[in-house]
Amino acid sequence: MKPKLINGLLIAIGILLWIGLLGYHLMEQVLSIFEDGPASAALVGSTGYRIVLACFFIAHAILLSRIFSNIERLNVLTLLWRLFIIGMAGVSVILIITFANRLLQGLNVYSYFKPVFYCLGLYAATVFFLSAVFLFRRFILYPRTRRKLVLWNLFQGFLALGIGLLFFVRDMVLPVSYGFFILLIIPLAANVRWVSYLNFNQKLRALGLFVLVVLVAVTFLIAGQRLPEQLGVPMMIGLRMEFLAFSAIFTLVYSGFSILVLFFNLPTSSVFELENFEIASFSKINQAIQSNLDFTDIMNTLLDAALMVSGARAGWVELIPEGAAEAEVRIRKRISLEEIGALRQDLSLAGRMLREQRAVLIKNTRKSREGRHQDTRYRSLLAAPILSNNARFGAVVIASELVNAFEEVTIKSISSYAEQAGIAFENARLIKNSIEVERYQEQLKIAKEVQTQLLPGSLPSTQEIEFVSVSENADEVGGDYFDVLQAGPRRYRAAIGDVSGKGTTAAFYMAEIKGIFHALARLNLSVREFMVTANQAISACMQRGFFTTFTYLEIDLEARVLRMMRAGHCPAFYYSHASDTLSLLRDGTLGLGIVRNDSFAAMLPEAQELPCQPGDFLVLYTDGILEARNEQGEEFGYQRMEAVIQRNKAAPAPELAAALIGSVKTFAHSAIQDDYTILIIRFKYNLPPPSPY
Amino acid sequence: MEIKEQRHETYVTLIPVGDLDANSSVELDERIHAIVESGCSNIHVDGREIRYISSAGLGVFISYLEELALRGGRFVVSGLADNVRDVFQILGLDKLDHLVLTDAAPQDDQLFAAKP
Repeated sequence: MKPKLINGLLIAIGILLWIGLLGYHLMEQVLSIFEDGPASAALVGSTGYRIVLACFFIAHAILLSRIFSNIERLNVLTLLWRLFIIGMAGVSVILIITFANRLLQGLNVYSYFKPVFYCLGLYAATVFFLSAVFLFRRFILYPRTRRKLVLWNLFQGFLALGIGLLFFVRDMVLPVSYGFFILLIIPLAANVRWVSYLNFNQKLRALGLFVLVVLVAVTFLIAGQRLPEQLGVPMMIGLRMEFLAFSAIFTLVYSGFSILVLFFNLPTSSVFELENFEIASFSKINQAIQSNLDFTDIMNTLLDAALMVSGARAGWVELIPEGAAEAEVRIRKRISLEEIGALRQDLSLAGRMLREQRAVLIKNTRKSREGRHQDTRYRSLLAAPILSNNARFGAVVIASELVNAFEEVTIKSISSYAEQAGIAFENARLIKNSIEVERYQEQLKIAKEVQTQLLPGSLPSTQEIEFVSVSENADEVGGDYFDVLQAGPRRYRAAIGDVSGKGTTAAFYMAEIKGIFHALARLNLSVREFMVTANQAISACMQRGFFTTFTYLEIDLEARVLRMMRAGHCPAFYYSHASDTLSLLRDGTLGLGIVRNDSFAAMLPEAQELPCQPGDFLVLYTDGILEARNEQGEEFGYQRMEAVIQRNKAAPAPELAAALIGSVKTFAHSAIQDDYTILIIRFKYNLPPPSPY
Repeated sequence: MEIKEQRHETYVTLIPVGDLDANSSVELDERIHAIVESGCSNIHVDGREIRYISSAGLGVFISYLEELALRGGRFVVSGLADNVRDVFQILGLDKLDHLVLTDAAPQDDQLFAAKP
C-alpha cells in the first residue's frame, strides 16, 4: 500500500475513534440529565472507553511518527516552524473553548457542548505533543547511533507504559515510573548535535521557535489542568493521562535543553562559521587553480578570502608584471592608490616583498623598525608573498585599523591562500606559455611551407644540361637560397646564396634575395651589372650587419660559355672532363650588403668565363657543407669535399649530390648545425658543339 | 664567451676566445660598440684564440666597418687560424681597406698610423 493511503487510513481511524470518545461523553451527559445528578463514571472511564482512548492515542502516535520520519531533509527551522503552527492551531482551539465556555454558560443546550469542547481540547493536545515527540526524535537521532536508538526505544516503552496506565493504576507505580522516566529522558535530551550545524542567525531563530514551542506546551498544560473542571467533565477517578503527561514532559525537557545549548552556542557560532568559510575559500581557490586561467578571478578570490578570514578592513593584491622589477597594484578594496603608495614607500614594503619568502607582518605602522608611517588610519599590515617554486608573482596585503590585529592563525591562513594562488598563477602561466609555444610552432610550420615554395620545385633537365639540388635547413626555416631561371631556349641564369645568420631573420632576407634574383635575372644585365644592382638592392633592404653571399651564373649553351661571379660565397668546384681536373674557383669579390656605397662597383672584377664542355660539371654549395664539424671539432673542409667529388666524378649528378650529403652526414654524425645546399650543374656528353654564329 | 680587452694609446685590443657564433657574437658586438662609443676608432682583434666564426660573427665586424671608415679608423685582425682566415677571405673582407688581416700582432701603433 502507498504510504499516503496508509496515512489517510490512520487519519480516518483517528477521527472515528475520536467520534467514539465524543459519543461516550455525550451519552454520559444525556444520562446525567436523566438521572439529574452529578455525572457518574458509568460510561466515561469504563473499560470500553479506556480501550477507545488507548486506540486513539496509538493511532495518532503511529500517524505522526510516520509523517515526521518521512520528511526527507532535516531542516531544523522549517520543522520547528511547523510544530509551532500545529501548536498555535491547538492553542486557538483551547482559547475558543475557554471563551465559548464563558459565553454559553447560561444556555440550556450548553451542557451538550461541554463534551464536544473537551474532546476537541484532547484532540489538539494529543496532536501537538505527539508531533513534538516525533519531531524531536528526528533531532535526537541526528546522527543515528546504536546507543541513541536503544534510549529512544526505551522512551517509546515508557509511552506504551503511559497507555498501559490507563488500565492499571497502582499508587506505587506512578512515582517509580516518573523517576525512571526522568532518568531516561535526560540523556536523550542531551542529543543536540544539530545545533552545531546552524549559523548564528539560524541559531537565533531556532531559539525563538523553541521558546514559542515551550509557551504553547505550557498553555496546553495549564488548559489541561483547568478546562476539564470548568467544562464539568468528570475527572474520572483512576483515569490517568500518563501518556500525554510523558509526552509533555519530554517536549518541555528537550525544548529546555535545546534552548540552553542554543543560547550558549551563540557566541561560538561565528568561530565555526569562520572555520567553515576558511574551508570554503580554500576549496574555492583550489577550484580557481584547476579551472581558472583568469588572473583577475584568482586575485579577487584571494583578496576576498584574506579580508574575510582576517577581519581586516582594507587590502590589495599587487603583481609583478613579467620582466618588471616593481610590483603593480592590480586589485584593491577600501583603500586608495595614494594610501597604498605611501604605505609601501614609508614601510619599504615594496623592497621587502621582493625579498621575503614568508609573510611580512607590521604590527604597528607608526613604530615599525623598517620605517614609520604616521599619516594613515591603518595601524597594522600583513603582506603574504604569492610564490610558486622559483617564480615570484606578487603579494596580497591586508590592512587593519587596529594595532597588532593579526594573529598567528590568520597569518598562516593567509600565507596558505597566497601559496594556493601562487600555484594557480603558475598553472595559468604555464598553460598560457604552452599555448603560445604551440602557436609559434604552428606559425613556423607555415613559414617552413612557404619557404619550401620559395625554392624551385624542379630544376631544368634537358639532353644537354641538368641541374640537381639538395637543400635542408637546420631550423624550420633558413637563409640558404638557390634558383635556376630559363632565360631562353638554351640560356639559363642560376644563383646560389646564403644570408648571414640563421632562422627566421635569415628566412625573410632569403625571400628578398629571391625577389631580387627574379627581378634582375630577367633584365639581360651583364654579370657585373647584375652584381652591382643586386648589391644596391640588398644594401637598401637589409639591416646593417646583415649581408648575403652570392654566386651568379649565366649559361649560354648556344655560345657554349658559362659566365659567373662569386660574391663572398663558397668557391665552386669545377670539373673539366677534357683535362680530368677538379679545380676550386676562388676568384671573386665581396659578399653583397657589406660595402653599401659606390666603391663596391669599383672593386668588382670581370666575370669569370668557363667553356661548357660535355662531361664538365660545377658543384656549388653553401657553408653548411664546408663547415660541418665532427666530434673532434674538425671541419669537413675543401679536401674531403674534393676527395668525394673525385670519387664520384663519373656518376650522374643526383648520385654525386647524394654521395656528398652522405659523406658530410657520416663525418658529422648526422648532426649538421647549419643550413646546407648543394647545386650541381652538369653538361651532358651529347652537348652539341658551339654554333658557328 | 670570454673576450679580453687591452687598451693602448691609439687603439684597443680585443682577444675573443672560442667560437664566434650567433650567441657569442652578441657580446663581441657590445664590446665593440662600447669601444666605438668611447671615441676610439682603431680596433685590433687578436684572433689567435678564435676557433670558428659564423656569418653572425662576421656581421659584427661588417656592421662597424662603415663607421670606422668614416672616422678614418679600421679593424686590424691578426693571427687568425687558417680556417677562420679563409672565411674572412672567401667573403672578400681582405679586399677592404678598413679591415686588415695580418699574421703578426701589431707591435706598435704602426698598423693604425698609416692612413689607408
